[in-house]
Amino acid sequence: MTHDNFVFILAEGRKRGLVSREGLGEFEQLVLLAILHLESDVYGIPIMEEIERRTGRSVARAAVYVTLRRLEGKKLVSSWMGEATLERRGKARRYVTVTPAGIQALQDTRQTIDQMWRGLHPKLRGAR
Amino acid sequence: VRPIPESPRLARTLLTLALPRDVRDEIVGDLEEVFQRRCLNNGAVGARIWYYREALSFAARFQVDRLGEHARMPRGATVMSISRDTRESLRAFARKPLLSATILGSIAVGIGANVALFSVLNALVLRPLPVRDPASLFQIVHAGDAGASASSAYAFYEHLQNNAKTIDGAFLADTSTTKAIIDGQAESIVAQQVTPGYFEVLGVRPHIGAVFQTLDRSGQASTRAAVISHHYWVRRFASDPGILGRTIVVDRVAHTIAGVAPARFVGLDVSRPVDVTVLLDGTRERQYWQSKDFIVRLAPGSSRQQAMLELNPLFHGYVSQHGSLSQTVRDRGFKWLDLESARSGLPELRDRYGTPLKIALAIMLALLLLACANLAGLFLARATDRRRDFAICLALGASRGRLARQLFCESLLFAAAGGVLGVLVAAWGTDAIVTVLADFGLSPALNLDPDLNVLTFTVAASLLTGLSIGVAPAWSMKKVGLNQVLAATGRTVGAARGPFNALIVAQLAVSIVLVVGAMLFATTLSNLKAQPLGFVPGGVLLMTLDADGTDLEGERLGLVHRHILEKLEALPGVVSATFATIPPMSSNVDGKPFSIPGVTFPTPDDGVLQVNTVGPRFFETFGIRLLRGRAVVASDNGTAPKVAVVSESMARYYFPGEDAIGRRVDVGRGRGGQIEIVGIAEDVRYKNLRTPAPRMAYVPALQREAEEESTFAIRMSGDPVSWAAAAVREIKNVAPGIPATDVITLARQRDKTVATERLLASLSLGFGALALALVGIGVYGMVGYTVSQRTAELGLRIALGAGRATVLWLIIREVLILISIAVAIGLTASYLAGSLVSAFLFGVQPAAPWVYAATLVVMVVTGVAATLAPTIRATRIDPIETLRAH
Repeated sequence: MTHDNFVFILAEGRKRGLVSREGLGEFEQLVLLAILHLESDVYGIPIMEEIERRTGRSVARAAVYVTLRRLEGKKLVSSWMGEATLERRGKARRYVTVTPAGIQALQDTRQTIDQMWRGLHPKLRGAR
Repeated sequence: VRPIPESPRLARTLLTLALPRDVRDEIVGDLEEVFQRRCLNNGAVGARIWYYREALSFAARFQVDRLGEHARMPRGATVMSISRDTRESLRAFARKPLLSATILGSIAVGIGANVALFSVLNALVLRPLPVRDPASLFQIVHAGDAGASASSAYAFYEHLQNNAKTIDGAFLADTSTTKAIIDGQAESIVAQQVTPGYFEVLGVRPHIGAVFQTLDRSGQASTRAAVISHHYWVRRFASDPGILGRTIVVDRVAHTIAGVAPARFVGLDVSRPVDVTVLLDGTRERQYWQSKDFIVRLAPGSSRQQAMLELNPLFHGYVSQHGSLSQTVRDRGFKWLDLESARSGLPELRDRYGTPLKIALAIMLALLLLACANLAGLFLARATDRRRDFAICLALGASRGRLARQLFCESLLFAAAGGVLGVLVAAWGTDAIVTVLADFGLSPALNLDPDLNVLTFTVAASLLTGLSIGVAPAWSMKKVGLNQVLAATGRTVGAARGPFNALIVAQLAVSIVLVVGAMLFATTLSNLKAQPLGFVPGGVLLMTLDADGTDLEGERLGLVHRHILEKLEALPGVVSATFATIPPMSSNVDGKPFSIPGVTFPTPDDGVLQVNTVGPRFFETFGIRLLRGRAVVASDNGTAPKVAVVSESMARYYFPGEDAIGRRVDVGRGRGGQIEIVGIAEDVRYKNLRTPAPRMAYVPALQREAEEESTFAIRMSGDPVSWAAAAVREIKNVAPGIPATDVITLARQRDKTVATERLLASLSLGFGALALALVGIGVYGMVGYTVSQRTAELGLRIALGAGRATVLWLIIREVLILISIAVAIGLTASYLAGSLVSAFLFGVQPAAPWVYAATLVVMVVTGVAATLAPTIRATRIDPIETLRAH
């Protein structure tokens, strides 16, 4: 499929409501933010531990990997393979980092949420 | 160096199978890393348990993710899921409530009509009797040259029961409408006389009380027991639990009510539920051959074939030993015994109701198919309009199968909703059908409770509807291609005409069969109605009085008859009144010995003549034309010389080339020509419209002993129905003990004899017309749609100089080709179906050429008419405008 065709399909699809322009899900945001917090050697295990440490809630390990794969599919995360060690039965680690598009997506989402929050704080305080 | 702990192999295998290849290694590696850590901290056992849990969790999450994968388009966006899409299409239909209501309504009516007919068919001929092992019940019929007959002699029944090894019980049953007296009140009931083993052989246990097997089997006439049916118990005795021991007089014999039969059991003839069952008197007329239902239950392990092989020699052996019986059997032309399954009741029901109902069901199903074809066209058009949407979905990663499934889903949803509504329609429809079938003698008490058969049929009909609506649009998905759509961006995508054409052909073919059927049945009915009746049916009311069982007989009964006649004649609006033993269209026969002094008949059959005992003004009341001589009058009484009027065919048959008037004949045991023929009347059809008029002699009732059963007839100047109640009241005043068993107009009586033909004719005419309308709408819609899809092409043709007539012909030619294909299919199917309905036709061959020719004309006219409007509109298009728009 050529790029032009793809653009056409996406545009047509959106026009007809067949394709939605999704914002980031909450867990996607958590994963992206965790990656950004960790500076080096970022892969599945530390990401999960970072989320659990910061949020204080337990996280399904598999969910982290499913989300990572999806984020990479959306080009919000990029990855490369590391070294294989004996204690890992010879399997390499996949290290990840957030792409510029990922950072943009995070900021877009934050902005959207902030816009919705704007002006609500006094009201909510009053309600409490 | 410490050995490295081994992670559970089974869990690793699971991960290998469940995880996508691209992430498998890194995940297994990460898990291994944590596993090693956990082994150090928590011990190997805890770590292994943890590993298993994680492996399961990963497998589940990635499988769920993979299921959703094909619905996800590359680079993140998602195509709607099936349920979302279905919701969307339902919303689209909700935006067009009229269209949707029409679709739903036609499905509901189509399915409902079919379910209604099927429920009646099921109740009458398919549902097994509510007795023990109904499949092993068979009726013994005597077959031979003259066809089969359900009859037997009591002694022969006992002989078979005692000697046959292949049968495990047998009984005789004889059902008749008769008179019962309860607490001095006379009423008409359906009574059944059976041999003592009846309930035992059927395996029917009483609701309360006892059935015959626990009773004295001697069958003594003095202490007789009766078993009443559950519905009679509820209706007549208000479910009185103290009913046992009460007396009911059936056929002049007092019976003691011994038990109540279970609720669902109404006897062997479900169309005519039995009210009271009593014992057959086995002491009288033991060798007399009578029409009775002879039912046997096959012994476990023996087949119908084995039973036939055993019973037939027993039959022939018994008959040869008993002289009087062998004479009867020879006279009637019986050659062998046959066994017909009585699993769902008397086999006779299958002939009476099964075939007409199956034909009606076939018509209804054809109509449902037609409606489906129309709806399929509608859905196909919708699918075609949405091709661009679908092509984009395909490009975004949805599979063709999923899109087809979604289209199916929509049509199945409609069919399911239509099916549910259809059940409501059916509830109303069954009532209507039962009312119509009352003309066939069907009791309104027929148990129509739906059962598994009906449920299966309903689901199957709905599924069939859904599939036939959905298959064409789903099939058209095969052709949806991305390139085709992209290449045509901004232009109309040409619809594939194949599926539309197939639908048109299917519709036309089905309706051709219906139109042929309608013509055949309508011709039959009009042929029958054109038969000369010999009497004038309009304005005559018939009331049958049965004095059987009362103490009125002979001279006293004759007096009562004359008294009733006077009262009836005095009623306002009565033109004339009379009575007779055989009113026209009554199916009654009364063959009496007949002789002409000095004449020896060549065959014994000539010595039997149908004799109608008639009151004064009989010919006038029934409108029977007198050809010569005089009618029977009031002065033809006991003191006057004995006279008779004969029918035209009688006079011609017995006195060829002579004048019958003045000849002397004998009817009954008379000797010496006591009766003088004084008149000749026109031939009258007595049995039905198909059977030719019998040779008939009319003798004055006043010159003979009064008959117990007589039918009074009054000719009214107005509507006879409105005076029926008054007439019955007069009769009750004069003779309170004699119930009027049957009150009906003569016209209705006549219509009843052609009930099957009327039913088939009105069904096939009504639905044939409906089918033509459906086809017309269908062709109109589909041609209109395909033409609108071709505007660019047609505009181009016109722009390039094609005349409008040429373009018109281009489209009509295509429709004509479709019609010819459909005619070939439809007429072949009609020809094949013709033999099935030939028994219901009269005066017309199932493959009459003129019917086929007329059908062809009707189809071409309908097809072309439906094509013209959309086509002419298409040829009016401005070529320049069209090309610019495209």
